[in-house]
Amino acid sequence: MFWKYGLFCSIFAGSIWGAFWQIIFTMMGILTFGIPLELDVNQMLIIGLVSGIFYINFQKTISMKIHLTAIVSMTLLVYVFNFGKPYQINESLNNINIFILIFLTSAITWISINFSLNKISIGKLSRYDLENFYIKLMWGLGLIIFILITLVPFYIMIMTSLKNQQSLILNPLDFSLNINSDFKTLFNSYIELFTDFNFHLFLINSFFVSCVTVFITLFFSIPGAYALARLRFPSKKLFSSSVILIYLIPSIVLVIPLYAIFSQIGLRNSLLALIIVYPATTIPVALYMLRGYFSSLSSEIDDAALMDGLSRVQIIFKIAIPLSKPAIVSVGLYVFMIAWNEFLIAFMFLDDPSIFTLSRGIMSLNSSEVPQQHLMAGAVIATIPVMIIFLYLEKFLISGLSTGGVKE
Amino acid sequence: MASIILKNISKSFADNLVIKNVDLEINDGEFVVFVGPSGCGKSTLLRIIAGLEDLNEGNIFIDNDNVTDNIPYDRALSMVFQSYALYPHMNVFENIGFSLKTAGIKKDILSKKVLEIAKILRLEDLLNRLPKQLSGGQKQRVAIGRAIIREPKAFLFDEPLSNLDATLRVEMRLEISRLHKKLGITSIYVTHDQVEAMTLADKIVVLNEGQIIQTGTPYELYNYPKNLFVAGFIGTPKMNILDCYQRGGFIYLEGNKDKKINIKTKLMDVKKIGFRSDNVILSDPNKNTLLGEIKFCEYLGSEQFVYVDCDINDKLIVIKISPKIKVVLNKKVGLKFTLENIHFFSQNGNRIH
Repeated sequence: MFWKYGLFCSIFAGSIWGAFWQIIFTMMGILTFGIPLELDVNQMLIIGLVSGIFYINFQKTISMKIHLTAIVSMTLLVYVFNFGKPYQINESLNNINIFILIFLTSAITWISINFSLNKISIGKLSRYDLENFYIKLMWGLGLIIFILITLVPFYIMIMTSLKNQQSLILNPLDFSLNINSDFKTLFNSYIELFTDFNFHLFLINSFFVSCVTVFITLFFSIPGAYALARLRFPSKKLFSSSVILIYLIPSIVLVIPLYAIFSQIGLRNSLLALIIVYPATTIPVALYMLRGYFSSLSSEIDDAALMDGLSRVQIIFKIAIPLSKPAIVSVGLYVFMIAWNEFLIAFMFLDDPSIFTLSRGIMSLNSSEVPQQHLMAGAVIATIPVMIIFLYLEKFLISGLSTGGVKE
Repeated sequence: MASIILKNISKSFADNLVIKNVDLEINDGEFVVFVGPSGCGKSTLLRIIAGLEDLNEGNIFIDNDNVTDNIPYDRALSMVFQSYALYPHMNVFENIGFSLKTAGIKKDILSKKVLEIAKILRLEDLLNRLPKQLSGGQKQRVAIGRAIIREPKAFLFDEPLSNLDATLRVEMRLEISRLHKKLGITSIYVTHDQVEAMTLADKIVVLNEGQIIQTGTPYELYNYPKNLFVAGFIGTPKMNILDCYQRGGFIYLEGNKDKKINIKTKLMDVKKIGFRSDNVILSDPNKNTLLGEIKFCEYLGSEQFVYVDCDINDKLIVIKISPKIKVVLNKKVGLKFTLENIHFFSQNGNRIH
């Protein structure tokens, strides 16, 4: 089979990396320079292919000098292919930037080829080397694509939020940053959101609603999950399987009857309504997740605690909770994010701008009078706290606290 | 220290009756071992005594107090679990002292007691470690320490050694035995390992399918098994059991050809005979012996077992012989029986005296 030979691997990896990085860097060029660049995949595909074959033949004798030569010659080849005018750009544009872009494309392509063809010989490959090659290639491609689709929208969001109305209208594609402008003009949207649009209130409201939701959810779901995991009681099976059924009903279906009910009891336009509705939707999933974790703990530890004189309630506080800290933290975090990001119910229930949550507040910005960069700044404000909390709590999410007490 | 009496205990999970009308008396200071195949209900019975399982019927008395409805702590028993069940988030000191802390004992008394226990169990250097930093044997010693510190009326052991490796198991077995001699506290010990049962017990309770089959000292159980189940369960290797019938007072074995062995008995209705591997003498084939061929040999150093095919329903007979004998496979041999070591069983498997 031809695909089992190192030569094919080198051609395959070289051309894929060449084409792939060409697409990525052209996109990045467009986003940073704000100029529409023409995408030509073929040239880099061929250059990558040649580099791959070159690498696999000379990898044993390769030195720093050869690395540099390879990258420079790849860059030059791009110029040769395009008769000195890559990306079909007029002389008037900044050629240094284009050169850096092409040089980076070549360098990253070359590094990727090095990475995926490392220790691959030219002849027929052993099964281990072959698997290793394809796994490494797929892993690398997957990782980069995943990072890009996460980071690019975020990048666009932040860059847009830092621009002013004039430059946004002038060139909507330009996501570069004007470094020369001072702090106040750069963060103008943020300042305006907090001074004119009550975003400090929204932030406090969102924080309050989310924290109370987490608290209520954990307060009910920890004992509930413990009972489902440990105790025997009638209709336990029915109860534990029906808990998750609420997720079969889309919230858009629930929100209309809820709207009617809450309007009639006069709770509609209040944060209390959210504090009632959010836990109702998060408790089932928290119960489900915690039950799984509690069941994974040895029930003999509970038995030992019973023998040592603890009641079931004391066992929850002194044994179950300390042992499932990582699970409780992650469930809490998950619930916090659900409550923080929830939009539909907040949108339907809240009319009074002083009690808006962040997602509802951002929605209120979506009108023709409010500039687009304010919307983006609002989105950034909504995202940052969750990110900070997540990064801070990440260290608690390590599992394995329960290891050692019982024999697995 | 206490006596424990079980009266007519029954327990079912859903429709599955796992304990059937068990009556048992455990005397003060006795070391009782529950033994039986897995799923026989021995652990459930122990957990019922501990109060970790409710029972459907019957009563439990500890020191003549009816404790049937008491919670585990009020029964003043302590338990050692198969998985050790140490609290993973507490160190050795806290693990051992936990029950006293729960009971609200003062700190200085508590730490004095913990140190005392740690000394008995040689855990003094490990008091600050977490369970995950201990070896299996150390964990089990901590678990025992946790049980001792409460000065319970009785110890309950739920297969405490089955997670340890073979050498450690022997060591811990001795340790448990030593502790029982020293403290003299009533102990109930559940195991499926009949070597543990034989070595530790004052009294063995053999259970099968939720019922007590036989209760007795290790000597009684080994030499006078009440029925085929006990006969087959106690002793390694398993007792040889062969089908037979009687004619003119002599025992004949059922098989392809009816075989006569040189045993005469006045007992009636003998349908099965059993004999242990060390109760048969291997000799050269002659008129008064059962003829057979050696098929396998297990050499264990201090002893060896040969499996002899006597052409009886494909059954092999295990015989223990001196390790000095050089065994030749497929060699024709003769088996000689002695009357006093033969167990006779009736059709329904009960022993005939």
